[in-house]
Amino acid sequence: MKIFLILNDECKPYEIEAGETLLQVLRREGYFGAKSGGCQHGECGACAVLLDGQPINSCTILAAQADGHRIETIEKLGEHPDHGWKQSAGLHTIQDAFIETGAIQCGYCTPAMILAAKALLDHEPNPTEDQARDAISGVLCRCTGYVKPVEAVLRAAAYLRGEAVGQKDDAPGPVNFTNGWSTVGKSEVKVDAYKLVQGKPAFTADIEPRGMLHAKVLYSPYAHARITHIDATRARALPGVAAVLTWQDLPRVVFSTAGQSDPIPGPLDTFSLDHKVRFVGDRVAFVAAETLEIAQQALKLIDVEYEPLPAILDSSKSMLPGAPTIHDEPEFVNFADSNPARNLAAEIRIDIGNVDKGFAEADQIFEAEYEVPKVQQAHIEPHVVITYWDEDDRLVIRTSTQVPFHVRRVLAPVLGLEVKRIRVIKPRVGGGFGGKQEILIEDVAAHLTIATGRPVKFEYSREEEFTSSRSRHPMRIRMKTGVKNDGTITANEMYALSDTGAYGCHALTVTGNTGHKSMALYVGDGDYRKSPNIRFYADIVYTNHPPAGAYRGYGVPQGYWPLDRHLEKIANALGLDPIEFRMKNAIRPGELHPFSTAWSEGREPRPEIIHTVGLEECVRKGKAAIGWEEKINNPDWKLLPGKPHLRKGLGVALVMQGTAIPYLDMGGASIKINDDGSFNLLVGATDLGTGSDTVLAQMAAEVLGVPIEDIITLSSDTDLTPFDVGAYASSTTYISGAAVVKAAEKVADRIRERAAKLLSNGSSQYSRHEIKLAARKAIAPDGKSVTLKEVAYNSLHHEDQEQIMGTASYYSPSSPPPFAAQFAEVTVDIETGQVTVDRLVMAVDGGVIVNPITAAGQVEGGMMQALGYAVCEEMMYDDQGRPREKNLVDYHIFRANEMPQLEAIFVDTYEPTHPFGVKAVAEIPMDGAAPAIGNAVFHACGVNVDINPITPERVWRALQEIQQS
Amino acid sequence: MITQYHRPKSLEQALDIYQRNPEVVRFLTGGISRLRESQIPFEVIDLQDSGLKDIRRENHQFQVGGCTTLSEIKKAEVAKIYPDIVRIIDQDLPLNNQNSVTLSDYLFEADGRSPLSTALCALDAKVSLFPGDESVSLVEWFKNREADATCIIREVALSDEYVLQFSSVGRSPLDRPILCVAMGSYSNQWRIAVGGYGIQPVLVYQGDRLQDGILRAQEVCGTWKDEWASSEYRQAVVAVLINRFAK
Repeated sequence: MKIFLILNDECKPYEIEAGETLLQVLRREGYFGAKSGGCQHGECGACAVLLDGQPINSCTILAAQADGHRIETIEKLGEHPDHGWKQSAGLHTIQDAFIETGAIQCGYCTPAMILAAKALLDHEPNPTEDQARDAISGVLCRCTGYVKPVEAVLRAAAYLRGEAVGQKDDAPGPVNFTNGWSTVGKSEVKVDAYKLVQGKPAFTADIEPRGMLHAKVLYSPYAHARITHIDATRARALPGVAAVLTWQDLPRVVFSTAGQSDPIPGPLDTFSLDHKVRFVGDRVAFVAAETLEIAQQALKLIDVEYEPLPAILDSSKSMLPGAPTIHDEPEFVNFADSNPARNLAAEIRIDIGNVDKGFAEADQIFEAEYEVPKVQQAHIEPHVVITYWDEDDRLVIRTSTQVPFHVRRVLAPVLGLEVKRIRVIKPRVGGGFGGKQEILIEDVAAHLTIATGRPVKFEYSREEEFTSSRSRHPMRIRMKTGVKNDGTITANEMYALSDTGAYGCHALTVTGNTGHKSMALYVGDGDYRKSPNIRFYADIVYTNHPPAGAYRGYGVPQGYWPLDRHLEKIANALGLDPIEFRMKNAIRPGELHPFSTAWSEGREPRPEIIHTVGLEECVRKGKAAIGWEEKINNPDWKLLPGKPHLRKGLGVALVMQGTAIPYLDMGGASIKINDDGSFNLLVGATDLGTGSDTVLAQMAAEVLGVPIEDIITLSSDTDLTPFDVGAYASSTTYISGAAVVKAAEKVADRIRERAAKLLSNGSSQYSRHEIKLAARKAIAPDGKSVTLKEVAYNSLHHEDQEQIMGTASYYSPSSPPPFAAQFAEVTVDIETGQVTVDRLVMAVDGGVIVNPITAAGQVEGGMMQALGYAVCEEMMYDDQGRPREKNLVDYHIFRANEMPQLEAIFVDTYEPTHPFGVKAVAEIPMDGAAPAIGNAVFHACGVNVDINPITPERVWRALQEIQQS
Repeated sequence: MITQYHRPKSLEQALDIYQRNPEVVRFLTGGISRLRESQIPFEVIDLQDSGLKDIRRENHQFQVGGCTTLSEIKKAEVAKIYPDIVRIIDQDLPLNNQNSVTLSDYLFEADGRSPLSTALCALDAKVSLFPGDESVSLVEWFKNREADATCIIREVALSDEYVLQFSSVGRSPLDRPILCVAMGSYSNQWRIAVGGYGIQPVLVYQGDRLQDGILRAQEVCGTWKDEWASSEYRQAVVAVLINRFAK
């Protein structure tokens, strides 16, 4: 049928199918700003466009319904300010405001947010913050915490009112160590901002090869079953079906889906397809068809007979005698102490000092049990991959991944190809948070491309993200702490029972971090400080739940919930100031990381000194920001006039993370000069929205003496960029950044060498050591200079020609921990148990902050995810192992108009093991919010909730217990 | 699969198209979520131009057309008389969906955890369906909603003489409630509807003795145990919320 759309002010006819959604038509016509994969029922808002001036989700209406209506997409708003000879109108004011405020992280939801802002500002020139929040509330963002998008809306409004709007202030950040630097330490505009505010086709699903097939997967309805019979004859006969693959069609290659370095520090227990299924949502068969609808239809035509097996849905029963064996396959490959006969994916036994002696010396011993839930990364762009054979018959895997090089290495044997026959391209990634540190779906599309010879796209639906993806490991944790009456910790013990689900991906390493990063923070005081007594034991067991995996924080949030809640109880029991108690026992600069002598993810441990600890300053700044002194012992503050059922409370948690994995994580960088004195920076590091492309470019620019816009960053493509382990373990700024600095120094050295020659003449002779690079010039001590463009022309065209370039890589013997103090202010309804989080303040010691606005965005977004972990996010299963959460309604993530006030603060430290003094900031925001909120609930109403999330009923029950006792 | 799209200019035209072959025709009143359930090829009749977007107030009644979107309701006079409606709708659906989901769509898809449907039950809303012209109370209609799956809601009528109070408990301010209570009061008469469970909200009480309403609400919630909350919790907290209304 033919319809007329007034699309971006142009009325044009479009030939459509009656059943096509507006989103399908827009994307087919090249309007990629409306994103297609975030959800299927309009919960996420990433596909929003304006219909007659109002934001609507284009996936929820038919294109035919829009016939005769006015549609605005992001493509209408503006364009890059430099289009060569053609004059450009430049970006729209709202796009500028989003760039200037740092409102863009992964950028997947950015076009929708900008359009929502436009809808508001078209009729409300002077909006309040609440109006700005409401306006963008139809668009879910998992990255930003909405702080900067709201700032952007208000800033755009000011622009549009014609007000003078000043330079955007840097977020509060360190100044002591960045004096004299031109770009490091400055809130530079993100290098990817322009494409993202324009909604350019940057993401995996935005480009589709001709002849592409669509993949779907048949999933198990059983938690544990053997496939006794499978017949795909009827499905294969369906017109439009190109291939159906079952376990009978594929080579049986065991592997791990964890995207980690070799050797994978965990068991190999997974097959692309198997004759056994181990959770509801496990794979049974793959289909490739001409359309998604045909593929879905074909799934129903695959005949499968199952023999249901007893399932384990309670991790405490996994290792009981007689428990069903989840992994009985002979191909299973153990790692370290894994033992499939006991359903044990990994085991950790770490003893530091003499723990039993420490307990014997304690005046009091405190013991308690805690629980943390299974939660989802919920990146708005789902897992998505497109595979195809290129003209050289090499398999190209274009995928939204955090680990392109691991994808290539791990999949090669699974696909029966050599590494050199595979190319992995990582386009823009729409959020990952650890969920894409998994080789989760690439093999599906790759097998189908091998089977059909055709390009194949496979994109998870939101439901598949919940049923068949990865999640944070749920754990049951027992704490035992010995304390002197003066608050000295004499011994500290944690036991974690961790549920890895059906497969052991990340089982050892995630749970290792649970103890490694949390228990290391508190070493005790006095003599105990010199020789702390710490024990961390863990059993990571298989169950028939969906597998857990990597999620931002990587096991550490699971550790801080029990540890910090436990310390709060001890401080209260001993009548100690909770902050002083923590600080008395916390690790200090110059001390040994206690776990570095005992454990290193299954590798040989190597002692490591912690050089910088900014915790005291974090506490000081955080206390001042939240008003700790005025509130904590003020009974009047806790009461709200006219609201006798409400109580205010304040809580704190201190946390530390890691920065990369020492002696393991490695990043590479390559830099070359261009004719105009600009540089190509090629990195294998993977920007998921974190801003790593930007901070790496800033470091290169600083060394090379150019503005950041002269650095053209490409990340990452296994054919073009150097190796990098990928984006995880908070390693990119530190590890890949050091590689960039090394590569840039090599390039800078060559430039100085040539510049010295160019500048030298009879009377003046210079050595390369005297030449400085700044302001796009090579400058001699007497002020004489040549431009980098002149150096580039000289080297590329004129004299002793060479390509000035440098390649370097870096791995580190150190893993310098960032530290943070997380504060929370809450209001508790003591009659219903409902907790409202009013405010979160986080003061972070992340070393030198390369880009304060970007880093602040990381902290704000991390706090928002941690807030969900604290109060509302939880994945539950019934007694058949079927999930409760399948969409972003039941799995609630915070919207813009329900957020508490967020504040990120940075403190000054200079980490001596990095050329620019950096540590990490990306993961630590996940660690402290939940315990800080739990502690605030205790401060408000005197109840301890030991299971998170802190739901109304859990608080209510704790209140009931107090009343009854 | 949708084979044909119609956009009639009136309900009469819509009815003509419908009656030609009612077996293969579905009405469309906003979003397409109701259409997704169909497995067989069908035609759609889009009612966006059929005159169902009015909100009128006459004889102490609001008449809200079934194709009125939730965001239009938020901006209408009905939200001035019942200001809590704005917050209730915000809790129910994100803004972008409020702009496309109509009252008809909403009520067909509402479940027990839907705040607006709970509020409308407390306000003694009545619905009239199309095709047809029968008007029934929303509370009664919810009980047999599936029988009308091929229909749409032509209009919702509600009195402007109530005082509406609404309260809910959830994991976050805008999470779907695990318990919500709406109370419409008028001349010492109380209508108490409770939501947060099951496939539809429940009108638990109508009368002039608030304490009886509380007891009845507790009795109903005493059976409401699911994966979101226990019956014990709901039973205790529903009394708290209603008592707060009384204060």
